[in-house]
Amino acid sequence: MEPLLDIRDLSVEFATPRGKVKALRRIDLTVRPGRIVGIVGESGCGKSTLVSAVMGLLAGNAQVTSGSIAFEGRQLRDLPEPAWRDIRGRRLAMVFQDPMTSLNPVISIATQMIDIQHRDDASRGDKLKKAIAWLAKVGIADPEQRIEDYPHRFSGGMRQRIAIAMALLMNPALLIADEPTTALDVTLEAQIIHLIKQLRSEFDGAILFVSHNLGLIAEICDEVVVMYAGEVVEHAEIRRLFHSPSHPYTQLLLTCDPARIESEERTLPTIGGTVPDLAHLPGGCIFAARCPEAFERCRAEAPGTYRVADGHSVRCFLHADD
Amino acid sequence: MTTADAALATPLPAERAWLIVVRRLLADPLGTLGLTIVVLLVISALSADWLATHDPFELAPRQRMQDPSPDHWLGTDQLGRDVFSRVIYGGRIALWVSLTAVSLSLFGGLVLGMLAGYGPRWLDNALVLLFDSVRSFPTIMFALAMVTLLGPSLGTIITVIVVASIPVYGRIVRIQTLSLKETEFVLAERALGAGPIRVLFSHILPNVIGPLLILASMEIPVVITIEAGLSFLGLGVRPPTPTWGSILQEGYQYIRDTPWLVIAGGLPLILTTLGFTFLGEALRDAFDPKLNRP
Amino acid sequence: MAFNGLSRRNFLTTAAGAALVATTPGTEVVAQGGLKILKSRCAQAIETLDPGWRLGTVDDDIMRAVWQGLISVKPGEEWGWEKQLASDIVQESPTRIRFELRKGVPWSGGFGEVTAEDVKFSYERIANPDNKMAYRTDWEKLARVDVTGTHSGVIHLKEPFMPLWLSTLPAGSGLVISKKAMEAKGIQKITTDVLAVCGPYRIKTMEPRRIIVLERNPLWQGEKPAYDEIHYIVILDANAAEIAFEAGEIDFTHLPIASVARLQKKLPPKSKLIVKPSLAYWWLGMQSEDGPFKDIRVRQAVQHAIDVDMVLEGAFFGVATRATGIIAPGLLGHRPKNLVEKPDLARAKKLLADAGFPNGFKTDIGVRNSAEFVNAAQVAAASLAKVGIQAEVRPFDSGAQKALAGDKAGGWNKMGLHIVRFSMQPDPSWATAWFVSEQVGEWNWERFKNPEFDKLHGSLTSELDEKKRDQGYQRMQDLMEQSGSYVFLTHGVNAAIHRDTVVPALSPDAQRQFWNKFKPA
Repeated sequence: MEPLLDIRDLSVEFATPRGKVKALRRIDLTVRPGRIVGIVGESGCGKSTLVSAVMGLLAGNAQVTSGSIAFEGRQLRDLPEPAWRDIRGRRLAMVFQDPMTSLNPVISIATQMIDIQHRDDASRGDKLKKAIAWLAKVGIADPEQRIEDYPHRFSGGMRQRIAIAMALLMNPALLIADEPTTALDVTLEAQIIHLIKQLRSEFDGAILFVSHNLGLIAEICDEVVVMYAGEVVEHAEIRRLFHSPSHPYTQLLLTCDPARIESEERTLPTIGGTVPDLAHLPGGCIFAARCPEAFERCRAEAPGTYRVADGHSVRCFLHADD
Repeated sequence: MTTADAALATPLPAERAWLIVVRRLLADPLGTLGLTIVVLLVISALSADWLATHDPFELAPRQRMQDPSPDHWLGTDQLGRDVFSRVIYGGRIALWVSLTAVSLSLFGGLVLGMLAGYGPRWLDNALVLLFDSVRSFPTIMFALAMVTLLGPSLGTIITVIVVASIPVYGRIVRIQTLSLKETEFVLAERALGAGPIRVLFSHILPNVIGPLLILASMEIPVVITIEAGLSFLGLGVRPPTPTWGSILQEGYQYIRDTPWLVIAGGLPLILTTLGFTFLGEALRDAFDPKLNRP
Repeated sequence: MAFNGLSRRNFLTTAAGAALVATTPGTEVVAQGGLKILKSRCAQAIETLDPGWRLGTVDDDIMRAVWQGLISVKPGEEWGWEKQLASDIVQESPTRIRFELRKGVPWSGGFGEVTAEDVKFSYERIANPDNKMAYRTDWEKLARVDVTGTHSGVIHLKEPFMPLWLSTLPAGSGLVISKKAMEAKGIQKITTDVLAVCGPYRIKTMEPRRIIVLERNPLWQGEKPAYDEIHYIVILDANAAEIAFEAGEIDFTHLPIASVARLQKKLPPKSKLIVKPSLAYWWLGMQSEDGPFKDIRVRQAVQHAIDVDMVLEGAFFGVATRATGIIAPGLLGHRPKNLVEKPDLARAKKLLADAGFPNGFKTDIGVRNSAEFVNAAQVAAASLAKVGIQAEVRPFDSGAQKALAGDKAGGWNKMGLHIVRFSMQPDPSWATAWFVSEQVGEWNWERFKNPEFDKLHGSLTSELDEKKRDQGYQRMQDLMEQSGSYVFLTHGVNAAIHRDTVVPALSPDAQRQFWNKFKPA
């Protein structure tokens, strides 16, 4: 099947007073229609930079230095801003991390939801009806009344439901959810995940689900991309990744997931060492300094991407076929 | 749903924010006093034609400097004009000048401030430099220069005030825009396809306008005072236009003959300044969500 | 109970004493160690005490006390002069004046006595065009001063110059300063240090923005002045000066016209009011070269529209009388009456209609930014409104008004009308000098150009026949009025108030103070 989103060899740099920070390096990522792809990694691994690059919302000091982003067969890199705006909202939509700040506090929900349909020729009444229908779909009780309220009248969970409704309102081909449950407590998190699963029947697009939580990823994703320090280190079907993780980092990540620890211990296991300075990258493998299995070659040269199985690739010399 | 969630989700009686504000305002005695003074001023300005007992421009040099009497409630000035009528019309001019000047500078400040805050870096730098240079120039010196160039008139006064106060509003709008620009809801809007114009007018403007309107209500008395000050220095509105500042100035010239002229020009000035200041402060408190009062 | 060491008893007596002084203001002219002190108000800061550069009458007052001229204006009711340094002075011919100096008049500071060399130095420095002094026109007809002896000399004129005896020799430009002192100090322009004095007083302390104290010149040999010290106290604001007078801080002050009517009704105790016609002249003028005012009928319409009596009532509170020209009563060339005597609105409207402005037009009245001018302009505007001319009042700083109306580059046409006051010396040529064609772009704001007027002005300063001068100057004012560009308003008045314990000595227009002739009553 033709991929919906096809990222090839994408590199992004930030100009900072300390020098150039190489935030993303040679990223390959493919999302096929209707699939839910998870992106997992520690804070600062470049997940958010990656989704910003896809949305065309990179900060002013960021620059795409190589690679390509194809969306629905159209090249997005270096797209002029008006063309970007045409794609955003209509074909590409996004749900943000903090529902308390992602809605404008001084404008009513109705106004905000009508406002984002500005490209449609429908009447105001139709737009309002559509907004109310979507509020109902995301589980807002009494949507006809509540739509006139201001954001501060809603709880965090409700707001995230509204944000999802707003993102899906225009029926995008790809929904990017950037840690949509991180700011919520555990019960609400479960409700939102349940909602997303449930909405798959209403919405036939693909989802790019960003999280640092492997458990959530396992629950809703079809496939997963593991990122470390600005690189994709492993890409696999969700089951394969959990059953046979191939990159030492993925393996460590799985042992550190509290949900998967079976024995009772007083301390949580951690990965030793720290993430390398992206402004002054070491030679060799990016994970070599922390890798328990690193050998000579890992410190000398950077590994390429090696195929382990169908739809399973890894950036590690342990699986080198050369 | 959690219980907290459910409680919050229950629709509350439809309340508009401004109703709460008005209720808070009326609970504040100084705010009520301020509101009363401002409303009275507006009424007297609107109905000056009915309230005034005489034509404020009618000269009668031989009836000059009369004491207050049933015919002339505040007496007559050095050219025999009715002072009460001049004070009433002076209020109309004070209000007109201040509202025009404040709304023009508010508008200018909004546009330039949002441009600086949301536009490209070089434009921001240029506008900040412009704001700072205008602010570093003393208003009264600027007024003197402008009056010398353009001659004294209402238009000159308004120009001076607008140019001098645009940076005040502009800087506030710029700072707010800069911080709002980074908020997630702006990012969210952009992620849903909103362009700069839509972001500025649909999202940043509604967030900025509230605090700005409070600032404006506090600026109105400042503007009235500047106008009176310029008129007092003879740089204001052209005679024979009645303004409180020029009534005060003429009164001062003849203070030993007609002391009530100074009072007639000064008292409304003081009352208006107090009224708008009380109102502005009460509004600021009423809008402040941190002061959680009924 | 103690107030910083002051006992209660002590405090009470002191307070009582203070109260006593406060209730009898100004009776204590004699005070402070038996010195007789006269305290007068100075209405401007002192800037330049140089005869060629003086700025205001306040400078004149001080200069006349520390220096002398060959002759001086005589204080009193009539304009005239008396001898000062000159023991003898004769006009030998229209261009020759011979003078003889009194002997043994000493300069202070050891600069010897006053000689004919000093006279030559003092007059020729003002006349010298290279020095570009403000008052050089007073001496513009001077050829040279010949020194014929230590105490004698002859003033040679290029041509007869009648104003010499009225506005040059007896006024500031006729004062004699010490050549030796100027050369010893190497000074070109005197500011506030007068170097050497030969008059009845010398400067004791000089704080140009606060107070100037004069004390007797110990070398002075003439009639002894009645007061030991003159305190010339700088009070700029007229209201403050009046209050200072009532509080006894000063014994003499000039008054704004606005105060006269009130004081005429009720005078503070033990004081006297002086109101004298001024020599200055006020007029409403209009430029004659641009816009509607190009048409003489429009200008004549203004002449017929303005209710001068009402303007005077409004601006001068009825205290000033109407002028018949620019030359005040009592002076040579005074005109008995105006050509247009009464407002005639019907005539004015007809003139406007004939000129093509049946519904009037919009224009401005430029005035100086002070009460009398602004009031006058408002009443004038009300007069003009009756014939449809809407004139807006535009107050200016005096400098700004001159800059606009006297703009050679063309700013003058931004203003239609103006109300102006010019100050005046007793010779009529002082008034007509500003209205010749040459002054267009300078002081001739009406842009009045009349060859006959120019010719008369040139010839009359040299005219020896008083009757011809008189008629000539009257004719010149007729020409001004006939041009339509002028509405003569008033000469105004000079008013002053003084303590009844003082007998002031003033010029006939009450403008100048002669302190050495002030006397206790």
